[in-house]
Amino acid sequence: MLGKLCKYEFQSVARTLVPLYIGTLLLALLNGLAMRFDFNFFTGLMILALSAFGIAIFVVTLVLIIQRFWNNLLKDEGYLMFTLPVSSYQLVASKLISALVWSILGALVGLLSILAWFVPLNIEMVAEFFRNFSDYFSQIRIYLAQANINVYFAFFRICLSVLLAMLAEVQMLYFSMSVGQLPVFSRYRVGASFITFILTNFVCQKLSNALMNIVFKDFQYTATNDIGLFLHFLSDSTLSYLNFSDPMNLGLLLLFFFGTGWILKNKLNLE
Amino acid sequence: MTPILECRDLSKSFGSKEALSQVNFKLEPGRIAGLLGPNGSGKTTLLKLANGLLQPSQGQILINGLAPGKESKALVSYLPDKTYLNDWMRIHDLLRFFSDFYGDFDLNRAYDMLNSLELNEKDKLKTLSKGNKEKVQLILVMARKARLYLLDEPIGGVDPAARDYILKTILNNYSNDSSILISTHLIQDVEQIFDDVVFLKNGSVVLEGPVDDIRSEKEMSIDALFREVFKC
Repeated sequence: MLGKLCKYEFQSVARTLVPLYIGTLLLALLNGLAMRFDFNFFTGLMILALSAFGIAIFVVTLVLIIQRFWNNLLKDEGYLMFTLPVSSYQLVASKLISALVWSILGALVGLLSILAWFVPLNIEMVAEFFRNFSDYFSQIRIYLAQANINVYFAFFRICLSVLLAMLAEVQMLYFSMSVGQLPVFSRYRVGASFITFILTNFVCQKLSNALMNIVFKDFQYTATNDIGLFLHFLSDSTLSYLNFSDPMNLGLLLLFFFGTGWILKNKLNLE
Repeated sequence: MTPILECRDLSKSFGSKEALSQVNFKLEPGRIAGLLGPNGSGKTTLLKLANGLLQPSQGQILINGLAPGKESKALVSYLPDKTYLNDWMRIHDLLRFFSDFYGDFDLNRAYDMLNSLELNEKDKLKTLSKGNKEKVQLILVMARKARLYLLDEPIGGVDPAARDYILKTILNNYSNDSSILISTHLIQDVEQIFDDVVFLKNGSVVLEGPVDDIRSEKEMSIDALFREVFKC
């Protein structure tokens, strides 16, 4: 049933985002081609348009994440969704999964459009860049080996942490809306949701800062010219930070997820 | 036999306002019952409780012996008094949606009803008139072979011709072991299909039982009785 919920959730968001993705990629490609053939006179305009598309993808994704939860679950469509033979937790999970996938897709489209911009620009130059890059990279790799860092693992670990932080934040949005729809706030649902979000965010920030001060109490950076030593320090501090922030974000994600599901099961207040 | 719907000392308050108070009644399989009462008597609240959209303040409501949840929702086909249609699907998308989620949804039956009511499956939900939206919702609800149909004011917004067709559809589509609970204040039009009635007044049951017993005991039609009980 979760799969079916995700399918329809996906379809409804795709209507808006897929055309936006296609528009962005086409524009990026057009821009790359124009530069390749020296139509430089509208480069400025193109950069402006592409940036606008990039910002639009970000904003529209965020708006849709909020709107799908609000309209589909907390307004009239909720009469349909909450009488399906599924649990409130499955409904919340389907929204969260969809939010995760669309955020990743949005980031990929952003990356692709930057690539589309550069690749047709000057193929020889790009090839040269990558040749040099691998030279630089082999040098870096030596330093990394000295500092005992696995690049692939580090990249994977950072991506995971970013996604976890993002999911916790999205789930905080859902939680805030669920609190905002409670019967006590019935006349100020939007305002109550907004204030709940601000307050929850504030409390989490304070909590995180307080815990971080404890974790990093004995951490000291001594200035150095040795790249290997510096990388070592960087990876050490990043890892300590992630080792602390990942469990915290996971905890918050679970707390907000089950909180949201519980409220929607027991305190739902459809108008 | 387990009643398909049972209320045990069911109460629901919203803040200090009591919407339902100590409601007790049973609906047996195979019966059609009218949930009758003026506006604000608690009919919609009762149906929302039965669908798990609200939780009781006190007492219990049971569907086939179970508290409302995933299992009960698979047995119940609910027509709310709200339009829950989104604005991006076409009618046939919605039919697919229903057959995806409800194992008892009969697609052929749904298409038959669409044709009879001259609705085009390719129409966008957004462009339908209010009356047609209500018809689409009723088709979705009645095309299921559910154990219990909970219909909140099913004929409130449609014209009399469609009203007749809808009542006929309800009667033709439900099978002998299914039950229907219809909330309405338009009693005259539907009185003849009820086996049982439940009168709700200010959140309490004031009269409940088989229609035939009530008619012969009070010596008047349900409609006339309604007018007397709820006289302003």
